[in-house]
Amino acid sequence: MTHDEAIVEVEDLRKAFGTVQALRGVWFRVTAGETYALLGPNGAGKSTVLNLILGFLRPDAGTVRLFGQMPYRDGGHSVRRWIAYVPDQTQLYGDLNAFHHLELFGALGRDRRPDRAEMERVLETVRLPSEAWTRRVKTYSHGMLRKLAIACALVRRPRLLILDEPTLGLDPVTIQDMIRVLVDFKAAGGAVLLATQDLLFVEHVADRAGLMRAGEMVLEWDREAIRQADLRKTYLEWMAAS
Amino acid sequence: MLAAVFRKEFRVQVRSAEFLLFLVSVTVLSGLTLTTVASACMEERRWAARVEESNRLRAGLAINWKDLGTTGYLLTPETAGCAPLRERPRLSRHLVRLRTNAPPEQIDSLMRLLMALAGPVSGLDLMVFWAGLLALLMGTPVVAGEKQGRTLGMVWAVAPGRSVWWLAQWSGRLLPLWAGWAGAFGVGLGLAGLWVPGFLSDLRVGATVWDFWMGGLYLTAWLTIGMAVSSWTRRVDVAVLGGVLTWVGLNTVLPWGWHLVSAAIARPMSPSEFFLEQYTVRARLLKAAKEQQAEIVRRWLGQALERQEDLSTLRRLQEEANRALLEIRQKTQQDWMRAIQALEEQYAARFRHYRAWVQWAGWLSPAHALFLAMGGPTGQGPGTDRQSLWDRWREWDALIARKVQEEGAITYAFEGDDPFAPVRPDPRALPRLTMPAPDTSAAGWGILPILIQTFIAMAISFLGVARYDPR
Repeated sequence: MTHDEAIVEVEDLRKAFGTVQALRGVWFRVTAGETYALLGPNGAGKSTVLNLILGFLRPDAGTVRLFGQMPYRDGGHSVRRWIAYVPDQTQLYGDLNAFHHLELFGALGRDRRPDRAEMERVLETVRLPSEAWTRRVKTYSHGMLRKLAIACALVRRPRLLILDEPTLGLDPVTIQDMIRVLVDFKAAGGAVLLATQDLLFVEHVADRAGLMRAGEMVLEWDREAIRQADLRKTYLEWMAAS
Repeated sequence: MLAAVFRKEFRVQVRSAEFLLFLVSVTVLSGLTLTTVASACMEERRWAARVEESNRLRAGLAINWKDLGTTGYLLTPETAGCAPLRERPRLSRHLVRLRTNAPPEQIDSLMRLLMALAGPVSGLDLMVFWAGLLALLMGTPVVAGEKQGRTLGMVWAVAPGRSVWWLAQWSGRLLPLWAGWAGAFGVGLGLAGLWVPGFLSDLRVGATVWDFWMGGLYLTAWLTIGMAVSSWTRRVDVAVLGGVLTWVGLNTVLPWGWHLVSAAIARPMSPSEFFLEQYTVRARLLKAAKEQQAEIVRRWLGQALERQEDLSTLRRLQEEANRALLEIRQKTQQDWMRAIQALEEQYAARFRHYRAWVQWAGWLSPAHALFLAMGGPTGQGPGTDRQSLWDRWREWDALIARKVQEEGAITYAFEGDDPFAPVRPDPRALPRLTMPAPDTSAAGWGILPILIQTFIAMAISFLGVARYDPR
C-alpha cells in the first residue's frame, strides 16, 4: 500500500429523492494514510455521500470506486472486508459486553475471529476503562459507547474508516482521545473519511476537507490550507453567500 | 458472517428478560403437561380394574333411569391402561357415560364459570398461548432493535448479504428457544419416568412427544411472526405493539370467528338439538309407558275388584300383569336406546361437519393449527376432544335453560320417582355413542399448516429486511 493509492474515488456523484436534488455532482478522492473531512450544514448532502459509498443508496449518476473497484457493481462486495463504518449515533447491543461486540465486528466479512489479546489492545487504544470491558453495554455513558463503536471499527483492521459525526455529544477529553486514535490509524496507513460539523476536530485530524453546500462540493482545502486558513470564517462566509 | 451474527444473536437472546421468563414458563408448562399425563396413566391403571369390576357387576344390576338421565359425557381414547408402545393403539373413540350423581342444576358452578370465561380453553392451553406470546416477543426486537440501535448500518456496511444476515439472526434466536423448550421437556420426561414406573413406554408418552415437536414448531412460528412484524417496523415498542395485536388477532379473533362460522354452517347440516331431543324422546316414551302401565294396573285391579277372585286367581293375574309390565319396560328401553343412538349419530355427524370446517382456520392461526395437530399420529389429539366436550356441555347448559322455560316438555326427565321396577338389560345394549375416529392416516400432515405459516412469516420478514434502507 502506497500513500498515494486511491482508497475512495468519487466522481460526479448525483442523487435525487423525488423532486429534491440531494447531490448535484460531487468529486473527491481519499488516499491511503489520509483523513478526508466532508463539511457542510445540515442537509448539504454529507450523509448521502457516505450512504452512497457504503452501498445503502445507489447513485443516479456518477461513480464510486473503493480500492479501485466499483464495489456495488459486478459483484465487488469483497472490498467490504477492508471497510469499517461508525454511524453518528449507535446504542450497540445493550445486553452484550465490549468483548462480545469486538468478537462480532472483528469476524464480520473476515475469516477469523479476533483473539482476546487483540481485543484488549484495541480497547486500550480507544481508552475504554478496563473495568467496563466485561460490563453490559447498556450501562455505558455516551462517550464510552462512542469509544466502543470506534473499537468495533478498529478491530476489523480496516483500510478505510468511515465516520459520521464522530464527535457528536462528546466531551473534550473523549474528543482528544478520538483525535489520537485517528492520527495513529492514519499513521499506520489507513484512510479516514468523515462527515462532521466540528471544525476544530477537522483542524486537528484532517489532511484534506471538502465543503458541501446544497448537494455540491463548493470548496476543497488541502492540509496546508486547513492549518493556515480560518476554517470557521471561511465556512461562515460560504454559507452566508448561499 | 453467519457464525458471528448467529453467536451475537444467541447471546442477546439468552441474556434477555423475556428469555428468562420463557424458560420459567416452559418449565411450568412441561411440568403441568407431564404431571397430567403421568397422573392419567396411573389413574387409568386403577380405572381399568374398576371398569372390569363394574362390567361384571353391571350385568346383574338394574339401570336407573334417573342415573341415565343425569349422566355427563367424557370422550376418551379407547386405550387400555399403560399399553406398551409396540402395541398399535385402537383409534376408534367412544363416549363413556359417567354418572355425575347430581341433577344438571347441581353441576359444579366453578366449572360453569370457567366455561363461561374461557370457553374450551384449559389452563394448559393458556400456558401454551403464553409461551407463544413470549416467543413472539423474542422475535419482535430482532430487526427493529437493530434499526433503532443503528447497529444494522454498522453490520450491513461491512458484511455482504442481507439474506445471510437474516438467517443468522433468525437461527440465533431460534436455537435458544428450542434448547429451552427441549430442556424443560426432557427434564420433565425424565422425572415423570422416575415417578411412574413404565411411564416412558406408555402410549401417551408417544403422543406427548409428538405434542412437544408440534409445540416447538408452534413457538418457531410465533418467533418468526414476531420477526416479520419487526422487519416492517423501525422501533422496538412499535414492533412489540404490532406483535401483540397480531397475537391477539390470530389467537382469538380469527379462530373464534371461524369457530362460530363453522358451527353456524354445521348446525343446519345436522339440525338435531341433541340433549333437548334426548329428553323429549324420553318424555314421550315415559309418558306412553306410564299410560300403558296404568292401563294394565287398572285392568288388573278392575278385574280383581269386579270379580272378587280368590287368592290364587289374584296371584295369576298379578303374574300376568307383571309380565305385561316387564314387556312394556323392555320395549320402552329398547325404543329409548334406538332413539338415543340415532340422535347421537346425528349429533356426531354435525360434529364431523363442524370439524371439517373448523380445521381450515388452522391454515391461518398457529394456535388453531397446533390444537388440531396435537396428538396427530396417535389420534389422541386433545383439541378435538376438548371441542366435543365443550359442545356437549354447552348443549347441557342450553337444555337447562330450556327446562326452565319449557318445564312441561321435559318434566318427566327429572321426576324423582322411578315408574319402573328394576330390570336386567343386556349391558351390550347400553346406549353408547361411537364417535368415528379421525382419519389418522394423514395425521402427519397436520404439521403442514404451522410449517406454511412459518415460511410465510419468513418470507414477509425477509422482504421487510430486503426493502429496508439503513440510512
